[in-house]
Amino acid sequence: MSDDRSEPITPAEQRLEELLAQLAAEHPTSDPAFAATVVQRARFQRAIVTPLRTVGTLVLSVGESVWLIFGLRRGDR
Amino acid sequence: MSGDTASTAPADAAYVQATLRGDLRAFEALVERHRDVVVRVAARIAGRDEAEDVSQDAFLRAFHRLGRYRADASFRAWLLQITHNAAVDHISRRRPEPVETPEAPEDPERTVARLPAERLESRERLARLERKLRGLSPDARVVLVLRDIEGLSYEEIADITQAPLGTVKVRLFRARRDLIEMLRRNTYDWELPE
Repeated sequence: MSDDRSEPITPAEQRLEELLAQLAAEHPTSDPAFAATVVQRARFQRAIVTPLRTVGTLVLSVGESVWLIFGLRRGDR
Repeated sequence: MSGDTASTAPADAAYVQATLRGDLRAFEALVERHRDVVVRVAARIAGRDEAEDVSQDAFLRAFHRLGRYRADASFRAWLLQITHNAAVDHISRRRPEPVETPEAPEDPERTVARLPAERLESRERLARLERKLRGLSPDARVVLVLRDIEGLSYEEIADITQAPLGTVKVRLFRARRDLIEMLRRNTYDWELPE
């Protein structure tokens, strides 16, 4: 916990550092299957997100084309 | 406390590229490499009970944004920025925590591990300290966790929190001061000199 403080550290700050160092030494654990679970969810989301994006892009393109065609026809009149 | 990422950065970048080409084993390797720091930071910002959900959320957000990661930057700092945002979002969606009720002793069912008294006391003291940390504002808590517990540099913290360097230093100063005050007001003896 080195610091670039220009002022000297107070005894209370020193004690706080000790307490936080104890906390830092104690690591919360996670489920051993954590990575596998994340990858499973990523795979599932990718399977949904990619087709959704494709459909969205397609709908947008069709919408733009329709707007362009009708816009041009209206301009012809 | 914090391992420097300089030696792991090229490997991270390679795993990112492989993931972008569709290799989910490469993404799994990225998760394995960084899960400890992500879970630790999530636990200390959002609380232990929420750490796993916040961490999963952070990794999934990262997965969908991998295309935006710049290979010349630290992957860990980029990931911790996402973790920080996920944890702060999580806190803001949650009901405010009562500040004093967590002082109640831990559920005896959860501490039946029959640990030696000294270890039990130490564990309980750390649990109390974690709860006190959660009494700080999210901004203050984040800088204190990243600096004083994870040992990150001010520059890294500025990147992660997207705050100017000066703001990070001021927040840290106030966070330490506020935590000392909170511990002094506490009935538990933290052995803090006046």
